[in-house]
Amino acid sequence: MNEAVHKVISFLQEKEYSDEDIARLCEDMIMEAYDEFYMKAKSVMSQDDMRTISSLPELAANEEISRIYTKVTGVDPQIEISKLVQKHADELIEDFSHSSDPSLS
Amino acid sequence: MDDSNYNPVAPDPTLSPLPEATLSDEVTSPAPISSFPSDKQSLSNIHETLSTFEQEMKAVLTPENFERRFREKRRTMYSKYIEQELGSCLTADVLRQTMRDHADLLTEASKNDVFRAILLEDVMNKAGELESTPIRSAEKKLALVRDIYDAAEKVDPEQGGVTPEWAVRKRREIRGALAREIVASDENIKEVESYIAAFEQYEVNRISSDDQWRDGDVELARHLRQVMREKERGDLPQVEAEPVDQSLRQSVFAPPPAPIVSEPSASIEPVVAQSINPPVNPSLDVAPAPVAPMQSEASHDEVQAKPIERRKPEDIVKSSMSGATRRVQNINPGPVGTFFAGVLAGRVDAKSPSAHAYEAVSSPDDTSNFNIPATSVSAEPVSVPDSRVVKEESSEDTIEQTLRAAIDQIRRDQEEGAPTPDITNHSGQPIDAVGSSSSPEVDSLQQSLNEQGADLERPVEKKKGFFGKLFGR
Repeated sequence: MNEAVHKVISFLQEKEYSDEDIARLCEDMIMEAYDEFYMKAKSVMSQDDMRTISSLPELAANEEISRIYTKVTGVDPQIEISKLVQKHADELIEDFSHSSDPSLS
Repeated sequence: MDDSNYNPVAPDPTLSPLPEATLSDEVTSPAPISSFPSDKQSLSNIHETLSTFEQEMKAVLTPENFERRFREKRRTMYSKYIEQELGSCLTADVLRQTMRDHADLLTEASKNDVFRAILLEDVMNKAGELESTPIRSAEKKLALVRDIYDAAEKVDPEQGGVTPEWAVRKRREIRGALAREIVASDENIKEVESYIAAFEQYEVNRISSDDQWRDGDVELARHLRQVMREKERGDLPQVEAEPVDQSLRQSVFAPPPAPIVSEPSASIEPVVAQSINPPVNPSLDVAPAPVAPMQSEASHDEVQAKPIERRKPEDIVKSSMSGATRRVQNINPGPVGTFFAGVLAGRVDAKSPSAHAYEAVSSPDDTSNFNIPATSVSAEPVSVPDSRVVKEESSEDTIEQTLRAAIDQIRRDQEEGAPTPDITNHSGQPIDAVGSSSSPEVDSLQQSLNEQGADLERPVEKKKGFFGKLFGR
């Protein structure tokens, strides 16, 4: 996951965006990945699953989320998150590759 | 609907820009509709966020890229808003009215398979909770489904909408599945027979002699009658036999790509987010603690450096990871938010329950472990369930970091006089002093992983329950 973020940072630094803007864009990018993961996880798990997960302590809940997500989708959620971050990083680079104005406001 | 002509952004001029606050200010209690608490937002906040997003991005992106990004952003925010609104409805009728009040948002959310599926599941679950009998519940569910597909029909199929034919077929499937589910339970038969009798009286007289029937669903009644006849003939198949068009789900959850290359999770900064932003009590309506300006994290040398000198990428990664983790924790303190934040912070490792022993030896303020995973030291072998075998494709970096962490742990234990634990890899296989497993064990492990990997090629297992049948979950 870090590699994707590093790639974005290098790209935006080359474009001469400020560090603050870069950090913000990266943060937003990760949040976009989170939004997508949240929607996927929400649609993967039933209400019963979530009731069970909510009743578990954090460690066990994480394991249960991993187990159910992997079982239903065939993809480890950690890998899924990494992929989503990578995807959004690629999109951001693509989107900003045509930009010549290094300011966000 | 022509998306290019659709402009939902109507910022309230009395509001000052608060792009950060919009995602977290209104976090209160979890929405009752499901166990997933989601962003608690007002429409004005959403519009404000979109407006800010528009102002910032329009200047730097090409029109096409801006349009795409803006559409995605808008769709996500509207979907979450609808989900949030559903949670506050106390009757199915109010639920339906709420959805109609937000027809534009509903249409927006209906453009996307995932959001549409979530909407369907949420409203049907909600309607199921709110109605007292299975048939009344089914009626409300079908009415809500009709609203959702009506909204989806307004969208060009090329843009994620559906054709009327598709919607009719899908509604028929849902109706059939509901009818079978109801009739499958003997407890409901009396109600079904009464309902069908009222329907047949209505069919003959074309008037309703029963006020309750006035709101009846003719198509549902016909379906129930058909299924009842099948049941009486002994022909009623199991609910699983209901033909299901899985296209809705397939577009979202395509089969996993073949070789999944695991990225080294080790390099995720593990605890800095916590040290900067302690977990927020979701029950408190408080804004997140302000994060110190990023420049303040720069070293003294960097401050003195030339103006053009950049911060280290690692510092920016830390900042963005910390900020994102904080935002996730603030807007969604539920299990998925916690999970995601854990992955960002390197605290989640599903395959090794004992991995979190790392946290016990790490100070919350200790950021020196930036490259050391919270995953690697295992005092006793840990078995790996089949479902998690995907993660076993660790990179060499991860193995190296695993060993580094293990060695650090041993040193700490030795300093404390503790006996040296067995060091194992992710699968609980013993690793010798130079960091390599014995050949037979490696071969055995490899074979095991291959076998388990082959299992992953199987079709995705369906989940039980109504939507499991409907969407192949």
